[in-house]
Amino acid sequence: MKLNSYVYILLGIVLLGGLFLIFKPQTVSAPPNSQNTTATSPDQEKSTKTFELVIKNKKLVSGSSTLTATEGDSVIIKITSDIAEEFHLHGYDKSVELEPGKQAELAVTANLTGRFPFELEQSKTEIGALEVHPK
Amino acid sequence: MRKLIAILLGLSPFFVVPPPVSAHAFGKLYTLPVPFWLYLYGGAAALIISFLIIGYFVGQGDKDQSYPTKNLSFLNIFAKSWFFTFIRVLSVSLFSLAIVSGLIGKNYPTFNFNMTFFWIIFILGFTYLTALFGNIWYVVNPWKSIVEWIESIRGKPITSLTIYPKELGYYPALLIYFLFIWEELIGKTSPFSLSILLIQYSFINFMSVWLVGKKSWFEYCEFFSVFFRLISKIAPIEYRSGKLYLRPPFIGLLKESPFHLSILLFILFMLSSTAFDGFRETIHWYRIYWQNFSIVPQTLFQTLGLLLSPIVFLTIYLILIFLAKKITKSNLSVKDLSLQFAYSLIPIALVYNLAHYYTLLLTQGQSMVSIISDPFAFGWNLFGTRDYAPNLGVVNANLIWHTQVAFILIGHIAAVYLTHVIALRIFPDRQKAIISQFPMLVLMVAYTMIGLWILSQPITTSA
Repeated sequence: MKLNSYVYILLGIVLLGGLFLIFKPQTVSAPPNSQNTTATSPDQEKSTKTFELVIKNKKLVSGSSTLTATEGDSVIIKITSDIAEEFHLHGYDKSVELEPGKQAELAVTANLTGRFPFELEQSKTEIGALEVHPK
Repeated sequence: MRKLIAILLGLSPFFVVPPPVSAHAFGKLYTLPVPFWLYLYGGAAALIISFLIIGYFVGQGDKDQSYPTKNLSFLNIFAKSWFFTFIRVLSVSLFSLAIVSGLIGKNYPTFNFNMTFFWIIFILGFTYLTALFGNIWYVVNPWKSIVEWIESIRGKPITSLTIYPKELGYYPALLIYFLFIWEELIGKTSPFSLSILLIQYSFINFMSVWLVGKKSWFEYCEFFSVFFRLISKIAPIEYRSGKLYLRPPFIGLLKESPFHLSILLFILFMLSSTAFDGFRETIHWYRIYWQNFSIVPQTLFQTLGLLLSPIVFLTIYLILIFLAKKITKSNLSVKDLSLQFAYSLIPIALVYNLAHYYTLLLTQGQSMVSIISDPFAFGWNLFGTRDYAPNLGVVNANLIWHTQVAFILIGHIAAVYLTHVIALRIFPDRQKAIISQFPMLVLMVAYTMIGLWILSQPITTSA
């Protein structure tokens, strides 16, 4: 390789690096606000996010299909279903039994980032997803 | 017995075996959309790099297209025939195990050996391995191995019934590619139906070798052979007369250009099938479907979308090739030009695939540790690893976003570089070669932006 090539590679790295610093937000932006977010308890620095879902006829009739949280949050999902089913959160691999008309609760600490679908396990019906954004 | 009948029934029509149980969504992607600022950065970076590469070529005089190689003598052990035999036996054993485990094992996609082995380890892992180490499939191909073993037992080669009509080019491989992607993305295979498909495909392989001969079948028609051969051109390793050499990555794509339109369509389908899979997860696909087409069955609508996807990519490609022809006043036809530049799209196809699926290999691939202890999902614990739970923490969302954008940019750099070298080769003077690059640059930026855009769009739950 000739000198010319090295100059161009170096120039490329400098330009891309500089551009990256310009584009990167100074403070990591908070994820979009979710519905049903309850107040954080003051003695804990990590916030608790509570979501309520109502499922009728294997469809979500109340609550958001995309639940948003930030890494480290305590997430509580309260589910009411009109039939007996099993509610399964992928990735975290947690399940909770649903009984008709009774509210069930699934709680996780959001230490994995990503988009984790949840479904009614027995009928393989995807209901929505928990999106955990990095801090 | 019922299974045996099902196999026999399944052999006749290639495509009508319905999965016995509704398949669990297999191999879930846990990726979040790339943040908007990073998407913008990716686009801006792609543009800057493109102009930088043009600048480099304008300022550089020679047309020398040789490249440095280095003999990797310490790796020559891998080019020995006993080693080839060893991996062939291993490959045939693994594919046999995959078929058997789907037939006799429990029909649980996440626990049965064959789903993770075939869809994750083989389809993803082996593709990336090929991009790193070259055309290993040429040796590993279990169907070819079996054919060659039969030949050596008989003591003479199998003579084919007819001669393959070369005008057909790679269309058979393209057709199999489409059916394969259909099964992967839309078909919802279960372990059992996957085994049936593998048996059917083996049957097709052996019949076709008998019909058109080993050489033509594995050269033009067998999908995996064509796919991995194209990917292997990226590899920084080349195999020449029994020796392995190190070479710059991507440079192998310059050694030849395709002669048949079908290979261009094949390459465009590599791009578009991945793009389609990403796009149908987004909120846009969801809206298009539910607001306008919800009377059409989802499977049919997705099939049409998958069919349409390469046409979109082809249209963009042909428009810009046509522009390149116009502004350079080239004597070459649009078809010739579009073939000459076809291989420069392969890096983009690979990085689309990497950006979209590599996390699946890292997460779902881990379940192989527990599966090897219980390949048939019978509850065995052969190696004591059955209870190993995949650690999903290995892929943090922040890291994924940055690597996804980095992959896309690397593919872009390679593609833009390759089109320049190709242009210098096919246009008579440098002036024309340089100006031909502006439409090509628009093309590569367009493909790169499509890839980035899909990665950055909100994902939705398709009900």
